[in-house]
Amino acid sequence: MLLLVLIVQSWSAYLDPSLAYIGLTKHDIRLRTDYTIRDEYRLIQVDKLLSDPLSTVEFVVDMNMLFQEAPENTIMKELISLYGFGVRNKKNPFIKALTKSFRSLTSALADTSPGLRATFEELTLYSPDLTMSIEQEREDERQYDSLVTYLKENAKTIDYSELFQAGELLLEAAQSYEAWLKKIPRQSQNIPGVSGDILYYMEYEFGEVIVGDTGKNIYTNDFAVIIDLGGDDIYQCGRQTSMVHLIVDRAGDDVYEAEDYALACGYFGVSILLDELGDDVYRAGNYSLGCGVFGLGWLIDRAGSDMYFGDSFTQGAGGFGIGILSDREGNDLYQGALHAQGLASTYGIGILADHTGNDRYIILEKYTDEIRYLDHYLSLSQGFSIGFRPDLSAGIGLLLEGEGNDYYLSDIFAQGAAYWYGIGAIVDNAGNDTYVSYQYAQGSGVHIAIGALVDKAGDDNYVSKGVSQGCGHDLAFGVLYDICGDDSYVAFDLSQGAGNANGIGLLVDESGDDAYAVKREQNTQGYGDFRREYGSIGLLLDIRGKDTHYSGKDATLWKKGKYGLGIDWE
Amino acid sequence: MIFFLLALNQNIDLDDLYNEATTLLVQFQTEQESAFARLVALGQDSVFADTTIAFLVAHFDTKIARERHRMKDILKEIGEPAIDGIVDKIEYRGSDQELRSLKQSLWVLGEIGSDKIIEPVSHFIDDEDWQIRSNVYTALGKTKSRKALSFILQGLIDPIEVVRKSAYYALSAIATIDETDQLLNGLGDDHYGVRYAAMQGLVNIGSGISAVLLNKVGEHDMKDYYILSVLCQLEIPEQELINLVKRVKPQARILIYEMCQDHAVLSILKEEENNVFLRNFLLEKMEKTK
Repeated sequence: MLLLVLIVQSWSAYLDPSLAYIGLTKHDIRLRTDYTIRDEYRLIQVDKLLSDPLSTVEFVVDMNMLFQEAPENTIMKELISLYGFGVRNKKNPFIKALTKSFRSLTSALADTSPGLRATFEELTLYSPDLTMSIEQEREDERQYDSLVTYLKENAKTIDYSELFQAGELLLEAAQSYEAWLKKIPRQSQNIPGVSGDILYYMEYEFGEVIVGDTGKNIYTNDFAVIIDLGGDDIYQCGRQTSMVHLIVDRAGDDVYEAEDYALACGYFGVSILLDELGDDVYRAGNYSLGCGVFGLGWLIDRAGSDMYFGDSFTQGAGGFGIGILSDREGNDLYQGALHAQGLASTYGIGILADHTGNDRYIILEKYTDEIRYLDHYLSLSQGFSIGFRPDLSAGIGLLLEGEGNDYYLSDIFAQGAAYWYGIGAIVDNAGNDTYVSYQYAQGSGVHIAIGALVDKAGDDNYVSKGVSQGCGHDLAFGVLYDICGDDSYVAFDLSQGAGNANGIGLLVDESGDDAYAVKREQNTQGYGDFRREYGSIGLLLDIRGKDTHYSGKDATLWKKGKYGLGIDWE
Repeated sequence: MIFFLLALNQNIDLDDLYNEATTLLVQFQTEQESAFARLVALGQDSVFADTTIAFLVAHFDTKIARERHRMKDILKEIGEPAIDGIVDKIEYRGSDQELRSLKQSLWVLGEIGSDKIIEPVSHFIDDEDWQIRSNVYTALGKTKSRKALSFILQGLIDPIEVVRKSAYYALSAIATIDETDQLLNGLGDDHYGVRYAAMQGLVNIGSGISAVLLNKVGEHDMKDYYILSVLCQLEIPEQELINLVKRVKPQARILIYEMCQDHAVLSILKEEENNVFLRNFLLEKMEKTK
């Protein structure tokens, strides 16, 4: 913590003396929260960071520290507090916690509008039709507008305080099952929907509970609670149907296979999947692997080199709820296609947190970006947050990384970016990392939002085409902050400390011998364009090291646009 | 006339043209440009203008930003003939709380720019919505008319910084030496948009302001930056600026060095400069002026 404070103070100390060269102070680095009327789903943290964008780095680094160091119940409490809700302190034994979770959830969803499920699915799983006519486009827009209006009016029929309490109780259950296991009567049984040795089976108010022995089990039924004591197991449970859902697997190299709405999917429900040991494979479709949509879903994998495959709304994705995937050890592969790997939609928190290992984060090319390019693809992933413009704010989407040499691959909108009153960030603590994307990425705020990429150590490579690497577009803030290492930054245009349409973009590199390459020098490396009768702000700040820039060199400064500055302090 | 005859024969569908002119899809770029041109032509046509402009104004409260931008461009291209049609409906604030129709009216009127808009636009100068007030001042500024001055002065003390920015922008467009005090105040504002607009206003006043500004140098670091920005854009002897080098901080000194083109002078300045950035800046500049 002390190191972080010193680091933040370090670059902060350089900020005012730098900005003075373009007639600015730190107080000019701020945005408003009321460019449009505030919708009731905006998280207060979004307003805080818009009002004081420079505190973004501190916030996201604190969030990473929380996930790297704190126990899960502390994490849960902190996340719930971001909604302004209080948390419980009472501990319950296993079955009681599950029962209470179920009852809280039943109460939370008692008045839910019936059309919410279909509405959210239609809005988020939209797949563009490239043969669309202009008439169809307009029809789609009318449909979209009507769906968003419905969502806005009806999402509040859920009691989110009760909903998150159900999640907290489920986590209690996941943490208290061992004491319960010691007490249960063990008896071998044949239960439909499972093969292998079974120690216990019982039906409860919240659903079926089953305990599998240490050998191999194959689960094909959607039990509400599965506790598996070991073995290389296979889970083919299909779509989750229980409102409260828990899987605890204590050991073995396991395979989890499902299609949509499964595997730590809190979809109008709460769901936790806890895998303690082993090299596991998780394969699912949409709404999976740590997804919270009108619910809470948390996938916790404590050890092993794992592989995660999903499509959309997967691997730490939240909208009107909380979705988390946390993986503690191993060299892992994460693969998704859209809305994945630390993604937040409205009133959502989506977090993918990985502690150690050399990890690969891949977003496949599946959903064409029909608005901008016919040969590029929407990612909306990897520390990204998106709202329903102009009606509903986004949330908080974070990809939090500990140690290891990691590889991040995406295309449009990803890697620490946000769109419409939200926060999207990647924080990576250590390792020689590679970030590859195309547009709106690597510390990019778009349309009144906050995007951040913070990499604390390692020799890193950053590659993106544009609106990236510390870029704020349209009253938004984007920051790429790299603390240590010999780094290379490659971009084509509007990147590396670029402000556009009254946005603010910062690229700050604290130390190391770095290389900065761009194609269009005129709107990169400390550039601010002029819009709405005043300037945008772009700052490239390199504090130490022997560096190579296209626009300057060590111990020089340069200006671009009215409020664009590049400055290399030594 | 050719277009008119063509239009008569083609049974114009404004909805279709609007949809094409404002499409988002990248594959319809050609249709978009063609529809845009046709709507402009219709808006300037003596027969179709009223209908076309009324049609566009009726879409002012669209929630879709790109439609608002495209309509602004179309109506700006149509020009003054569009003003009456917009003013006729200016009281309509919009179908929801965002007041999009009124904001759009003010924006488009400003972009067209004409003395004719001052009266209807200034009607909203005390609006409770800060964005409406901001749009009012921006629109008044675009008229570049001194008739708007009394309205504009009110906005210079607005509590919302973006509104002050717009008011100062408006003042900058019409300022004379009589508004010097207000503009100098603006140079010390909390918001950089205000400081920039005030600076631009002083530049627009011209060389007559230089003596006043030279006397102000050294009083306030932030103001020094903007005062020197002004002085460097005015036609005053270079030596007068160089004389200021020792009176201001490095962040403002660089403005003088940026302006200076004489290699020998740059060399002298470099010898006296102890700020490493500025020395390197001068060295680079000397290389270029060899």
